[in-house]
Amino acid sequence: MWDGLIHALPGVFAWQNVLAMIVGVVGGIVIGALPGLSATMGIAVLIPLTFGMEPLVALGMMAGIYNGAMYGGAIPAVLLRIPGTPAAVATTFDGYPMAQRGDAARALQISCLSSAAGGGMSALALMLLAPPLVLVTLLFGPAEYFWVALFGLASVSVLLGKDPVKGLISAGFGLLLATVGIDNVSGHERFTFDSMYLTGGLHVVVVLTGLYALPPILMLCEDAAKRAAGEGMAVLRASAGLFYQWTSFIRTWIRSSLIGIAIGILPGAGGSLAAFLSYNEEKRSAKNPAAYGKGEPRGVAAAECGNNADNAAALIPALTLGVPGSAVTAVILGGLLVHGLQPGPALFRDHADTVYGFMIQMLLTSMLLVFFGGVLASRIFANVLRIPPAILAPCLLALCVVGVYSVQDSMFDVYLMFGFGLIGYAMDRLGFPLAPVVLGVVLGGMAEMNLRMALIIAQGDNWLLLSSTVSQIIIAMILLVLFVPLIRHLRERRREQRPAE
Amino acid sequence: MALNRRTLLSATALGVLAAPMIRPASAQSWPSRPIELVVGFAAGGANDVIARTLAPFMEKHIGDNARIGVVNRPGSSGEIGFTTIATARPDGYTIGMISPAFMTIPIERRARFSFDSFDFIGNVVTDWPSLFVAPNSRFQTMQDFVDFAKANPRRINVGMPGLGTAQHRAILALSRAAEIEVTPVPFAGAAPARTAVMGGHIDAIVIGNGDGVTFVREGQLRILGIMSAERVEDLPDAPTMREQGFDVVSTIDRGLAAPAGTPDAIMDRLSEALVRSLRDPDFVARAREQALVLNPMPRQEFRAHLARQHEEIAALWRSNPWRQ
Repeated sequence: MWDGLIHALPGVFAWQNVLAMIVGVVGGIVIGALPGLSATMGIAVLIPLTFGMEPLVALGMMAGIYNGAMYGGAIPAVLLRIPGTPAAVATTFDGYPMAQRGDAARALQISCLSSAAGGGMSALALMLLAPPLVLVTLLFGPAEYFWVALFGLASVSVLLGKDPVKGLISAGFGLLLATVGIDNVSGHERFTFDSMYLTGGLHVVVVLTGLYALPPILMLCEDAAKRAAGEGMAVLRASAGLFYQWTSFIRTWIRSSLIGIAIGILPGAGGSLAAFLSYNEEKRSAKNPAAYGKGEPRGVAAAECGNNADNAAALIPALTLGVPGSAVTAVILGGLLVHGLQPGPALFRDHADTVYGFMIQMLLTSMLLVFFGGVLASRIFANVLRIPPAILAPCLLALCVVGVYSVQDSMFDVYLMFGFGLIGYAMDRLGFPLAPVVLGVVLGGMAEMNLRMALIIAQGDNWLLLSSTVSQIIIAMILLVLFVPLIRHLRERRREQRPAE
Repeated sequence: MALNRRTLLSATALGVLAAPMIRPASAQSWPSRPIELVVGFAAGGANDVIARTLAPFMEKHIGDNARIGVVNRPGSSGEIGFTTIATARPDGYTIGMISPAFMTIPIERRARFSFDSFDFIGNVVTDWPSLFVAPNSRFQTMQDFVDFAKANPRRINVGMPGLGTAQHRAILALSRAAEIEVTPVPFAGAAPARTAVMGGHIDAIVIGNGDGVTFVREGQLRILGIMSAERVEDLPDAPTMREQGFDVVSTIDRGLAAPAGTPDAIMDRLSEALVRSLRDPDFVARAREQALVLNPMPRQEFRAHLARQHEEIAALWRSNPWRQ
């Protein structure tokens, strides 16, 4: 392994490859920052162009886009409460309040450093621990994946907001949306209204862009009507510098990276779950949980570190087992295939220089984020808030339409997005939180399909679902997540009552 | 909206068909504008990579400065792409990739196309379903597998890449040939099924041979039988089902098609260009890198092959529908 890494180093530092990584990172940040456009699309568009390139040039660009876009998603999440990618939803919780109080540049810099930290740790895990981590992946079958999905859904409790009933309704709505399409297990069409376009289900980017991007745009329009034409939205306070107090985030980064890596090696869940769980854990273990959701920098750090830590780790099952855990890793596998790199156990031996080179590129592009992300974030992107809403809103709307159309080259998806936009606007106005919907859409299908596969495999002996050690550990974690807040709450109440006695 | 326009166009195309005078002229000047090669799967997937690798070679062998642009119409297991091909104007400017799902979808549910909506240009790649187990599995041979299945009906969990796929149908056909009952488990693709059998969560899998080859070579999977007529080059030691006494032969073919009614002269040129592309040494080298098994089959042969397969699928559906 060390041999492989050292052998691959000179290739990585050829000038074309360095240039490719830089182009990839910058391109990725921009793609991620545009709502509706994601790394998946960026890499998919890139692949045909790489046919004639050296493998490491192509892979360097892919690594750059992958890492860049995961951070780029945070930019509109912080500035406008519009997550640029599904994984940036958790970034809006504290990032947007920070921007509103004038700390947009600071929030973006924290996002950038945290993304780099998460991505870097994850790349190290990929380089150094891939073989043992693959054995962990193999321990997870349908039953275990069902419990993982359920664990993710249980974490919804932190996202419920002020009114738990409304939060649960939102989560239920998300689960309902996840059932649309042809049921993979029985083959029934569900809620497809006889439309061919719905048989494949709702694409999460379409739902997300509608629910999350359109309401803020509509509100910008309302704002534009109220304000004078030339006036920007927010005051911008100068940030104290990229590395200001960075040591205070180290604990957050370690925790979130571990969570992101753990989620990464389990194909199927992806960066959004990693970000939610990291945020959740950060809030749970914090001394000041009440500050979260109101602009706590550690919340931003946890979410952004968690989703980038998913990146390289998700390549572990993809490269060694050929299982793409997400749309983006599936496209990267396609890109590897074009260059004759068959995923599987032989890859590391037959194409050692390229594969280890790619891993090093994942690490380097994470580091490049610090430089390009930091500069772009505070110098350029934060100034978006100076643009008057009357100009910003139509631009954003156009971007959303283009982005959603490009997901599946489908105008139907654009209409769906507008439909979800109206629903999202109504929900926002009525005080229904939107994050549980996204979590429901992302995890509902995973939970349902794996549960039903596990039941088929169990052949009537349903205790089998609880039989493996892995299942039991996850179930214990679910119980902890559900009952610890309750117990804590009861204990506090008893403490309050005691002085009165 | 694109599709609405397309439907409108195909309505116009019917008008064109009614006036056969115009057709020879258009066939003579073909190709005067870019040809769209529709892929019913997202950019970057296996189907897309095949199409994009193939396109420049097709351009070269069609000649006349032909240009081919790959257009992705992903969604609903290829259904949206198949519909796009079937309902396009049959003027030789829309062709597309087809995979076995184009035959199963209209049998399973109401679709906007049928087998007869297509005219076939030729086959590109072929794979065969194979039965794999984990290296430490108790099944050493097909006979062990069948004996256990007979003694314990429905007890063996066999993973496969999805309901109604060629691999799923292969499990049903094998069960019938060997007079056994097993429980098919639908995964979301070959890779998750393969991982589940390697992790010991299911007993066996039936996936495309190409999806398992590298894992067999590395000793992470064992192959019990391949459902091809003869042994395959990639795994010369792997026995076929037939030579072990189970008469099951099944193929997974991916080829090119055009909407039915495309002028014969154009179809012949396309078919010829495809066959030549598949024999082009540069293309053969690229296909080998991607571990694709090229299986050139010109127009008529491909049609006969698919028609036979379509008949078998319909018969299987009548006797043993794989979904409600």
